Amino acid sequence: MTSQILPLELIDRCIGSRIWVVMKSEREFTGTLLGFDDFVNMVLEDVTEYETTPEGDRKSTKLAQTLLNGNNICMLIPGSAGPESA
Amino acid sequence: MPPPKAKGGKMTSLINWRIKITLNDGRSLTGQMLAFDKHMNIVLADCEEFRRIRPKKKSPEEETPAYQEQKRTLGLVIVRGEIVVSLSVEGPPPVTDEDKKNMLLPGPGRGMPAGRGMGMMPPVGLPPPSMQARPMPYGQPPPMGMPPGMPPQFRPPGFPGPPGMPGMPFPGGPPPGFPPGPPPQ
Repeated sequence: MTSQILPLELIDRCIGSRIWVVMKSEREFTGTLLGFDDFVNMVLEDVTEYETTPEGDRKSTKLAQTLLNGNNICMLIPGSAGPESA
Repeated sequence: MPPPKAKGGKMTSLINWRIKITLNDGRSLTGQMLAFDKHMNIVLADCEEFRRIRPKKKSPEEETPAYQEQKRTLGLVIVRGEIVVSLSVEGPPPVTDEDKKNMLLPGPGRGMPAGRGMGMMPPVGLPPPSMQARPMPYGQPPPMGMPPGMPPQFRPPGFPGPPGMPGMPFPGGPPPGFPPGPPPQ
């Protein structure tokens, strides 16, 4: 049995919907996924960037459109509103 | 406990199992593995993230325990394969309602075709009950393989009688222990 759906297919189905991107560092983004490529570089719209400081505080920044380098992406959580909902 | 069979690779056999993934940034994720690919990108359902907060990152005057574990519930997660360090089995696939249906034990009832006057399949080699002679109260069962109309006492030479019944009392009288009298109808 092969897996029914590949991880990248699942990301493809998320295009147009909200997604929560967790980077390798203490940085997270939520936004509407506009697209991605083979390297999973991603373009997000209506983005909120969250940065968790070592003290545990969370700093958020609003961004209109963002290109994320896939190198630094750790996890993708589709359909999620972000760290506030977790 | 390893999965019972590894068909098409170890990873494939772990699909739907609950696994724990260690990431290269100190985080670990547990969840049900729904899918993976050649890059080790992994889809986890019901995912929970655990991370260790290192004490050296905290300011020195803070009085927190050395290692603090932070837990977050993430849900459905796609993990980038590049950051996966290790993967271990946490437990077998969760039991679904579908599985529970299949696990129902069969009851005492059984299904059979409905018939008229022939409720049960006759045993192999015997005529159906409706075609058999009326049972004689003390007689032996109608012998098999005898031409019709032959008296039950008569046996062709070399015919030892019904198989498996050696020493059966000769028909005609009541079995030992029965009071003599007219046989009931």
